[in-house]
Amino acid sequence: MATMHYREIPGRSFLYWAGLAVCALLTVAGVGAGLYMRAEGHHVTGMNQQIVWGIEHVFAVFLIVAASGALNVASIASVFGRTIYKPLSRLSGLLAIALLIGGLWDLVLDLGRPGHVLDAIIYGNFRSIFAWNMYLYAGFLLITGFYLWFMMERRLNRYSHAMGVTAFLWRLTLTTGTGSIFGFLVSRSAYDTALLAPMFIIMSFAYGLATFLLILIGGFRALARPVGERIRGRLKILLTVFVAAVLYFAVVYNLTNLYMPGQRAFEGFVLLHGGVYTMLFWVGQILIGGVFPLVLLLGKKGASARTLVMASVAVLIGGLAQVYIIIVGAQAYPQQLFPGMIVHSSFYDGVVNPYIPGWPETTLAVSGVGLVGLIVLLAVRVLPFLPLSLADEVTDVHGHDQTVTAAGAAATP
Amino acid sequence: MKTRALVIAGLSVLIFFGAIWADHRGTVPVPLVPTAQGHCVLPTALMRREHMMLLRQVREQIVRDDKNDRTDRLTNCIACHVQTNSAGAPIPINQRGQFCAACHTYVGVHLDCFACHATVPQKAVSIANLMGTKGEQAAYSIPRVILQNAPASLSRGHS
Amino acid sequence: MTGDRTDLVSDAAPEEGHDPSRRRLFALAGGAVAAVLTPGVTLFARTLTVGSGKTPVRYGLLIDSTRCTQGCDACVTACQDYNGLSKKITPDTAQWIRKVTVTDPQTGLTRSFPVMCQHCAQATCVDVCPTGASYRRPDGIVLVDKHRCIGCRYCLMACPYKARSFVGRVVKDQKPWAPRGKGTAEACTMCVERVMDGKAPACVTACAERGKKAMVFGNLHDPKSEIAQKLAQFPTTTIRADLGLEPGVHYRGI
Repeated sequence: MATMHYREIPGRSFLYWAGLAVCALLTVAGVGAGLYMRAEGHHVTGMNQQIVWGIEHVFAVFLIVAASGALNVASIASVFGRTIYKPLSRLSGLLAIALLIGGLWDLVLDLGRPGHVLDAIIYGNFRSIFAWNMYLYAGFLLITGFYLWFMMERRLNRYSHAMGVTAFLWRLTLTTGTGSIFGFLVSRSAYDTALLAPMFIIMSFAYGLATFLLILIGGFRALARPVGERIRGRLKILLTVFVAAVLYFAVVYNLTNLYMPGQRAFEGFVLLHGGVYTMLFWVGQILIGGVFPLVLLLGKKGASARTLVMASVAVLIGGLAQVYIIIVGAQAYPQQLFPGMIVHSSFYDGVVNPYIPGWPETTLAVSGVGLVGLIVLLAVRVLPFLPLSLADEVTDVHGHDQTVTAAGAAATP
Repeated sequence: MKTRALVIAGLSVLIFFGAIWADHRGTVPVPLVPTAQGHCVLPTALMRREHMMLLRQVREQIVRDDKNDRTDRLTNCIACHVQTNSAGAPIPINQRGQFCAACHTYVGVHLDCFACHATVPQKAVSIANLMGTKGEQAAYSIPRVILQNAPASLSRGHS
Repeated sequence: MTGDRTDLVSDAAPEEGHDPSRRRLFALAGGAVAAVLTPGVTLFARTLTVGSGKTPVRYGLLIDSTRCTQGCDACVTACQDYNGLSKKITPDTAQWIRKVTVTDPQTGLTRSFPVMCQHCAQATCVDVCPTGASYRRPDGIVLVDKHRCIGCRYCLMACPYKARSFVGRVVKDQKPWAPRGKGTAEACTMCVERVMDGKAPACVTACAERGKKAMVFGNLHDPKSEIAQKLAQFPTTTIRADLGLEPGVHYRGI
């Protein structure tokens, strides 16, 4: 009987150690940046009273959203029974955990008083979606951890389906929560819409899969383990659908705003004269993040590793641009205390607020990515997360074998 | 095997000399804590051990429970314990050698209050105002647990 | 000894009844139950009472923009002096109160008036705060309990009035009655220490003494108070009344 073989990576190559060193350095630099911000106060960053959440929040939200999306591959295998994805489940779970930790790392180190973060659990305000999110994050780590364990421990394999379903439902809730952090706010023109919750879910599908693809293809290439055409083809279709869906939501969101007279000024800011935000929208989010990958994925026959990597990188760049607009753009646009009026004050009312990410918060933002890399690199070395081969023969036989076994088992008296 | 033995030996040496060094550090003299101008709300020995619990309790009452008439609040602790320099100006209470800092430096406990709270009283406060008739009547309720566990000699010292 | 400490902590914990937000949540839950039992009428009756239930005291302000003038900033400087705030204006300076000039592009009419924390009955900052550091006192004043604030700045994101600030520097020389420090959120406290002493907030006093007598402070729920009587006299509104946050600061002529 053909079974899928997983094995720890040897981790002796120069590339491995170099990657590990870079990730570790980034992580340590992030600790430094966090401590510096804590000691000096946030005035050393590019943030101020107008732009209160900056680039580190963009990365944090991006990583957290991608985390729940990265789990999708495992969900498709265990919840929807597509056995071809099964060999990818472990990496999917690992990536989900690593990305979430990376995102939380950015969030916590950015706090004004990171040492008091446990107050959120000691006192907890259950009217706060932010407080709910902390429980959702903790639960996600726990559930995905168990899910991985049940997948990797043969004796517990039979529970992995139930755990997979739980994880899938949990991750939908989690991303709904993340989107609602913004969707629940009435204070800014860009928010105050239920659309953000489903939009974040679909964004998570795309960003998570793109991240997954990059690590899968890049990693397997470095390890000289094969990834077959068959599995690449499947992932390509998935990515195409997700990118198209993100684009669809972007169109609906902006069209709705455009149609409401009170929101047109804001929409004009995003689409026409918002400077960097307008550029990020058209070039970053729409062109690089949407149109380009779609053309690439739909236009080329087959699913070469090159196509997938290029599309994934584009999706990630577009995604970062999109989250940047959602978080920073929304704050740059003046709050509407007196809609329709011309407003002036010493507190920058009525003006578009500039933001240039400072070094401390940028270092912190990138350190989250470094931490993700660090966790993944260490984990695949000590535990068998990665299959030895994803070549067509293996995945074919594997998928085929599963059905035959099932039929065989049913037929056996 | 060899590596493990080496690590264990190294750690042992480190712990041994660390202990000697720590013992040597133990001879740091007990600080001279400046004395206050009046009687405290609780006996010194109790305050020394429990002041943070009391401050926290009073803080919750003032900030969260709207009991604004408590006189035994941090600002009044400072007003009473603050020292003045030769010019008669108050010296910040968290400055080296001052009431709060003297002990906290000695025991190595981080002092977080003064990230936000003022370290000097705004103007000289007469003790009568603080612990006068109103203060006595607002009668500091010593948490029963503390009194029960306190040595008999430590029952309310200031009344 | 450990056991004693636990006891002390539970002693210090606020009682359930003292937490108005929690009470409001219960009221909402009660409303939902009532709605299920007798749909229609009960739901309507319940909805009306939620949030607008009258407490004996609700402190508020009335700002008369027909009196306030563009050049005057007596309220702002008084606030800075009393609360020990910086007077240097940079993008990261905290501003608890600011003068806002509003011009109607259709008519050209310009008005000027101060904007500060609006001390909402349905305060978004209180709702979103993950630790409950943002809280509303039973007398309607909305404050930040800095002991609990972790500095996440979600309240700055959530406030539609731009009323919250974040302290991004080490603070020294605070006023004893206005503790404030790096890494925490802050806003107008309605000079709660002065109010507790029976005085009006610093801005209101300054406006009366050095300004245009455009501000009235008082108990909104006491029909005999000056503020309640004035509110009954002429039409007023609140900023972004459409959001339904029930601010405690009312404006005339905006």
